[in-house]
Amino acid sequence: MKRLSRDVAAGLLFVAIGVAALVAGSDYRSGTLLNMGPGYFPRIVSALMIVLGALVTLAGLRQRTESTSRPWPWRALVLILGGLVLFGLALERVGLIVAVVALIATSAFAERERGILEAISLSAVLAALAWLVFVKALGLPMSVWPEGMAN
Amino acid sequence: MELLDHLALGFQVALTLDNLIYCFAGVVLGTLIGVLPGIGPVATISMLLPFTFHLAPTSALIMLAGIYYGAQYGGSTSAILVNLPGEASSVVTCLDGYAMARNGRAGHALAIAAIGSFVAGCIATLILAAAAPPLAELAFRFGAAEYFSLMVLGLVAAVVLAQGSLLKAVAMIALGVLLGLVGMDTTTGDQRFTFGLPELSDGIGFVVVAMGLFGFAGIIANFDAPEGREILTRTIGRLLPSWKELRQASGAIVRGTGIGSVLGVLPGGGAMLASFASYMLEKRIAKDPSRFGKGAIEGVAGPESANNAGAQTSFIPMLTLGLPTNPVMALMVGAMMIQGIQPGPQVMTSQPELFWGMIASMWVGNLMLVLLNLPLVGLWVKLLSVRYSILYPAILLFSVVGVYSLNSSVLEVFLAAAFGLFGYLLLRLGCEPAPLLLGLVLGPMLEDNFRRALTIARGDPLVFVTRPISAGLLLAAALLLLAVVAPNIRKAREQAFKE
Repeated sequence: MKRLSRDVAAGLLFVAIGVAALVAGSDYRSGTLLNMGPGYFPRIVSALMIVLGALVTLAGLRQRTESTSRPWPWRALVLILGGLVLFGLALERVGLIVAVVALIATSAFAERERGILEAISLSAVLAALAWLVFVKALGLPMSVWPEGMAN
Repeated sequence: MELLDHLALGFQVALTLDNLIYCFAGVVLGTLIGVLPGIGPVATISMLLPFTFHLAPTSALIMLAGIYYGAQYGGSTSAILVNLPGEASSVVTCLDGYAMARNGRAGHALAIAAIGSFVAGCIATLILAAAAPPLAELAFRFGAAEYFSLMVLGLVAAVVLAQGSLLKAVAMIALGVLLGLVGMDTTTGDQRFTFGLPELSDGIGFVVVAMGLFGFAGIIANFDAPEGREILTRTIGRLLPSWKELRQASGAIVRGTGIGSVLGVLPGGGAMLASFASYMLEKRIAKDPSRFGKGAIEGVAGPESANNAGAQTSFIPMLTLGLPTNPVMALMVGAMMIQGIQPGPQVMTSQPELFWGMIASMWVGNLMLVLLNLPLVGLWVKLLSVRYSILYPAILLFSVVGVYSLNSSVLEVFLAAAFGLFGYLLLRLGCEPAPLLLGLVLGPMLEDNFRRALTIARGDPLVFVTRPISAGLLLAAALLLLAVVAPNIRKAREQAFKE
């Protein structure tokens, strides 16, 4: 089956970003060529972005490609990005160890064939490694355990 | 001889115990991570960059450079043994290197790659040392208008020589420049695109972007293209090649070094283009081209020399003009700025220890790589057998802690995750992330020089074309663009990347 080239989507994305930048920066003063305000250069780049996006879209419309749609790796997307977000939420609240376990225990299951036991041991090993490398060896300033549990 | 004085100064710096240790740590870490398939030098450097910030600037840059060519080197090991390039510039090494490994000559392939890389590294370091002072001198005559035009030329050349759709690459640069605008406007002090978040007033960190686009997005992409790996562990065989093989390879090493040195200086070229060009040349001039792809030693020696020479000479524009020509150099520029050094021609005169120490350390590091890798190849092979499913959680962990430790900012962790998602989307849409990173790093400099040029010229926009050097640079950029748009050259370019 013939379908639209992915360039159409890419081009439209570029146009959207350019428009968004123009709107978000609409308050910035342009100034003159001699005395440029904060808005001058951003407007040029945003406009360029829109023009380029439109060109990419048009070029994409002229070609059709064979349908090669791969399925999206939803599982990996959700679990890996989710793990990173959990890490960010946990780190300053409950310390490094819990944050690492949250990151690894979540992202580990992006791999379909992962066993529970393997995920647990991987979390434990990496949490210990993180403490050794980042806290003991590199001395990065971060709390290790939830407050109240520290000695 | 001024050159010898400079190198002597450099070796004085590079051979101090501290710097030797950091250089060693850099090449070991670089090789270690470079060997692991699926993480290229950009992801490696951005992952390890935050951990160099507390070092002295010279040591930090020596270590980062070590990581870069270490990763390059490790990439060839996995190309030869697993048929999986650790990074783009080792793609061609797979062809004959893996074939040699299957014929039971893996040891020879590894050794010739090491020898070729070392020879190329030595020569390219000398070229770098010789070419840098006159180039920096030239750059001192550059005003703001010339710098602006030079950056435009650099960016245009980077996309022309890079792979993929030209239009999309230019759009990615523009997007990078746009992202580079986030934060406080250095001239007027206004906040731009910060959406009220005080953390954004210093701009979006390039490590955050690089980590998201190259690190996280890459890990996710590995899940949508699962690939089987066959590791040739038992068949490494003898390491030292015979005289006959060495003689066969020596010509390829010299030619590869030449090609690599020239192409490495060009924006966007760097190591990858160099290794492709060298492979094509060797195949063309060989008496019996049919040997290629079946384990021709020239097919390993040439590209490996070329990519190492190219990696080395790509430091030339970065160190002398402050112009990064590929994403790795963009990271180096960023690292320098975080260390409080504004890259440009003044670095050589204001910080000669740093400049020449770094150059000398490249030679030292190359020597370390040879000494380290040939005897230890068995260890790297073991690393190759680590399953990706064990590896990627560890990569995630080190990356995310690295991002956080930059500014102890959780927001940057979230941002990096967001760029991971965005980066994967861009990959799906066929947009290469490399030009974005160049635009991000060059964007603020582009704006600054644009403004200053116009202020000095009293607002006359013609300044960019009335000053001869600036006009010449812009003309070159226009011709390059035109050349690619012209159909017959475009065809040749596509062909070149297909091979």
